[in-house]
Amino acid sequence: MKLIVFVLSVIATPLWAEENLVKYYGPVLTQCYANATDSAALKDCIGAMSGNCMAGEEQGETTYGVATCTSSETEVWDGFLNDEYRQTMAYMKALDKDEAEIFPEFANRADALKKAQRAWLVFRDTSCDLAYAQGGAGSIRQLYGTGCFMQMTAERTIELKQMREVEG
Amino acid sequence: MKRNGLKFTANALLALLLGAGGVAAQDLVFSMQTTDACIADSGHEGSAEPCIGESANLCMERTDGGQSTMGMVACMGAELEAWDQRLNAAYTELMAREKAEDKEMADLESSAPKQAPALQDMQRKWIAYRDARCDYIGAQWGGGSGTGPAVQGCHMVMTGKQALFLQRMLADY
Repeated sequence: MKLIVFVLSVIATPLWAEENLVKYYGPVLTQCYANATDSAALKDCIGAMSGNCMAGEEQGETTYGVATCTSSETEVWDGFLNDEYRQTMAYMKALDKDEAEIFPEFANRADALKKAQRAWLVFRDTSCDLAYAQGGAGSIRQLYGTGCFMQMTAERTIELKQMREVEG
Repeated sequence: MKRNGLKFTANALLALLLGAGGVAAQDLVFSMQTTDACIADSGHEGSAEPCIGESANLCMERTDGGQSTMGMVACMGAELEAWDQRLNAAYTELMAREKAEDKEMADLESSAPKQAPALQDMQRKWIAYRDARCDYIGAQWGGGSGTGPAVQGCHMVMTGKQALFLQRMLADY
């Protein structure tokens, strides 16, 4: 079985370029994300794009196919994540600027966001390394790892977006 | 509350509050019962995460002065401590199982990646992330009196989520 998957994946590689999958299946996610108005609706967007990819591609249900469809969705979320981070950072910098006029010692939102985001990145990577390791010796472990990346990246994206909405 | 106050553990914070004439520990009306009942109701498929904080909320209602800043911090501190114990118990058991399995796989000369070091690494990075994230939550308050409860709440929720995550991993093992 493993050998078959391997052979298929080698033959299929040109068609399976992630950028093609992003181009073809990505708009579903982009639209869902743009239309979602709350946290629950945003979370419901997770997995639809990779699901369509698995159902729509001939090898979408193989281990390699599932992993590649999932990674292509992660790539789209990653773009959203960077965008939300930039926007939230700009928002925090503006709050810091106002704060600095009266209490400069408390104008550290932007700095704290940067540190939290760095720490999150390392935490995500080690979490998904663990998920991969728990998948055992078979190629199935790739699915544990790629699924973890997609889920964690999407959840953090939604959090970063909401940091500008529920402000303390 | 000053930012360097964030580094105190729940116990140290509680002691600090007691010293300052806050809610005395023996007066706290706290039990994990309502959180546990909520977890039981959430079933195997549902997420138990919304149950985190229920016991702290009830403690705030039932304790004299529980709604004050100090009362809130003390009640959340009590729930934080309960979650912290659960987190440690789940981690210890998971680590023992993963070490045993790593050894078994190594004896078979398997190519499977090692689990125990990955678990340890993840948990260490989680601690760094928890602290950075809760600092960020605290920074939103601009030094106001809401800082203490907000940071304590962040520690309680994050520790609760991580405890549930490790417990689920253990249950799926």
